[in-house]
Amino acid sequence: MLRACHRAGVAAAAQSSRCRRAPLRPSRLCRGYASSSGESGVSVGKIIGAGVLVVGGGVGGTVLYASYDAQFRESVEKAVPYSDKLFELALGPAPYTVPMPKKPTQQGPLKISSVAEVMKESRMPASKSQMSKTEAVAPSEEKEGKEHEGFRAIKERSPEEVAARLAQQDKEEQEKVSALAATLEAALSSTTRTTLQAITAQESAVQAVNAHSQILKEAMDSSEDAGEKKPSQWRTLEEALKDRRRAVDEAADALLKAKEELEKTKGVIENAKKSQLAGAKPHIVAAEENLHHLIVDLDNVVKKVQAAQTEAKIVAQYHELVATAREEFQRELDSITPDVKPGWKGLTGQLSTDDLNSLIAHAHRRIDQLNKELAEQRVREQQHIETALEKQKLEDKKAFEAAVAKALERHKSEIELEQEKKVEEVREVMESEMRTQLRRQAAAHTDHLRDVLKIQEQELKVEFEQNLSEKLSEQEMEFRRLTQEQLDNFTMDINTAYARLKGIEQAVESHAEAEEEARKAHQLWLSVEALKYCMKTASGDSPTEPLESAVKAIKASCSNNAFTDTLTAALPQESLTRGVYSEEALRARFYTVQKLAKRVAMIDETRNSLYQYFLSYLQSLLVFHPQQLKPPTELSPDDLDTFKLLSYASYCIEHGDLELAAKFVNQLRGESRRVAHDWLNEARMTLETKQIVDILTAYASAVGIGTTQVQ
Amino acid sequence: MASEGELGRKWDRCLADSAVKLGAGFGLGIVFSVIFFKRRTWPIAFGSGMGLGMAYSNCQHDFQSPYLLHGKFVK
Repeated sequence: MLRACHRAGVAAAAQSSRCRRAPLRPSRLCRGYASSSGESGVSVGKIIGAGVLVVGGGVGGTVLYASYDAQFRESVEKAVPYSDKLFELALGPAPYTVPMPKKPTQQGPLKISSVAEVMKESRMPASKSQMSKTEAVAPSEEKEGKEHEGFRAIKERSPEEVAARLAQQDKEEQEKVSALAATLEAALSSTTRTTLQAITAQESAVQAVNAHSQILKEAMDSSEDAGEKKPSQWRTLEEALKDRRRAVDEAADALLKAKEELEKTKGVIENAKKSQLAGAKPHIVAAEENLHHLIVDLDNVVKKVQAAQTEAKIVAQYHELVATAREEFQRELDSITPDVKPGWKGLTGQLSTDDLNSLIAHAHRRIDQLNKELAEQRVREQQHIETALEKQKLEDKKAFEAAVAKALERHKSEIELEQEKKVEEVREVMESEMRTQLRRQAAAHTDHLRDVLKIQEQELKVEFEQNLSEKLSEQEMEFRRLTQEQLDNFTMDINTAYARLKGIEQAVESHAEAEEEARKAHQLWLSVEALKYCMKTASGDSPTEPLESAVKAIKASCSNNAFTDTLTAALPQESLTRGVYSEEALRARFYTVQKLAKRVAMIDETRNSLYQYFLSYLQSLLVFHPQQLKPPTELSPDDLDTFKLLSYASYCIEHGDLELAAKFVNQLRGESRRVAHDWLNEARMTLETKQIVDILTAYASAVGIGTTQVQ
Repeated sequence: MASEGELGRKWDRCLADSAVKLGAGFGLGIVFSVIFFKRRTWPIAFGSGMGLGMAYSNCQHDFQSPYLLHGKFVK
């Protein structure tokens, strides 16, 4: 069978080796195919490789260029999704571009520290004029001031005080501003009023002048007309002249007043400018503008008046000239014709020829004179014109210069106003920027302070806690020590008491134990006696009573004694259930056994046919051994003869030594042994039981002696 | 049940058995001799001898029975 297994194993091995060799062939075939179709396979690989290279090159180039050019990077990121992740991986985050929308977010966190900024400003009360802005922050700042109380140093004033001061300063400033504004307004309004008044006065003056000159012209033109109208005309002329004078005076007064007011307003504006209140600036600027406008208007109107006046002057001059010429003519006429009255139109009938001739001659002479004058005038025309032109030029120049100067002044003032406005704007911007910077600085300062304070707080806390814990631990230790002492004392007392109690208890217990032991020993003794008695109940051939009850009694009497337990356990089961035979019974039985054993002395494993049985029987009849032989102290091999053994055994039995007899019977061999087998068992059981009972008796006696108290 | 009585019992069985077998053999011998063998004596002797022999064999086997070893042939 082993060979078969080996053969099977060899076959399996051969099969596996065959299988292993099989796949090599297909791979070789594949390689063969591969080599045969080499070009197509390699070219596919080449194509794939080339494609991978191109893609990789493209990606790498993009990444490289993006690392140089941020805009390209941004555009690529916008165009290709998830490319920003790739760029971030390869190049790091995108470069920082100044983001405008960040400012409002920065304004947010600064709002909290605007309190600090404000309070910082309060420490420099006079310098900055951002107070106007703190008006809005003041109410919120009051709340925050309370929050930040714990953080502030001792040197600062309390936030409420600061707030109050700020509010007060605000109020003052507001008052000042409002006062200033009010004064400006008042000044401006009065100025405007007076200026308007002046303007109207000037206008009326112009009108009056124009009217007067008009009337004068009319009067002069219509001087040849009838005389009735003349006085009325002269009267209207006089009235007109009066009006004109009045109007001009009024205009002049109004102008003076307006100029005064303007000067006042200018002074007020200058004062306001000097006071440097930011809130008043717009007012100032507006006032200046108004002032400027008023000045311009006033100047225009004054110019108008002056023009009207010059015209009027011309007309008046003309009128004077005409009047003087007429008077001269009248005088001449008078000189020539003294009796002619001025109203010479009605005198045409009264005039004589001489008068007429003298008149005509005079007229001719006058005409000649006039012609001469005219010729002279014509000759000097050019010169007159030139001088007049030059004069005019000079005047014009002067006027022009005056106008230019005025215009320059005006322009200058305008430009100054504009500049001031621009300066104001720039200043505002600058101030706001400075405010933000200051706010930032203040915020940084607050943060730093906060951190430092926090650290300090923690340090102090740690220190104090340490102190506290030290003190506590000291106290605790003290307390523990005291309690421990008390406890120790108490324990000692308790221990001593306990020990005494224990001693007492032990003594009592030992007494009780001793008594108990004595009782138990008695019990045991009694039960063992019962067992012994039970052993004696064998009668005749019947065995004893079953020893079970007696054994149970023994067990009950000393249940926790290992010795007795072992012994009672060692009792053979048969003795418990059935009882044992007595020695006498066994002795009687021995004889039958002996006889039988003698008869089959020759039968053993080798000789056991019927013939041998016969022979053995014959032998038993023919062998004469003494019935009882004293057994020697040592057995020799030839003592192991059946007959001898049986003689020894019967001797022992006769002398009451069942044990030795059993030993001798145990030496029987063959059929004799089989015959004596049961007897031997019974003898053994009896012997065992007897032995155990004897031991138990001895033990009980010993225990009894041990527990007996010697008095 | 006692071991010393064993032999006695065995002897009893043996004798009973031999008596039965002898008788049976004898009877069969007679029968055979009467029926088949024309009243010869040898079948009777044969039969009784056979019966006795069987009885002897049984008896011997019974007495040998404690010493017989039964073995198994283990391949």
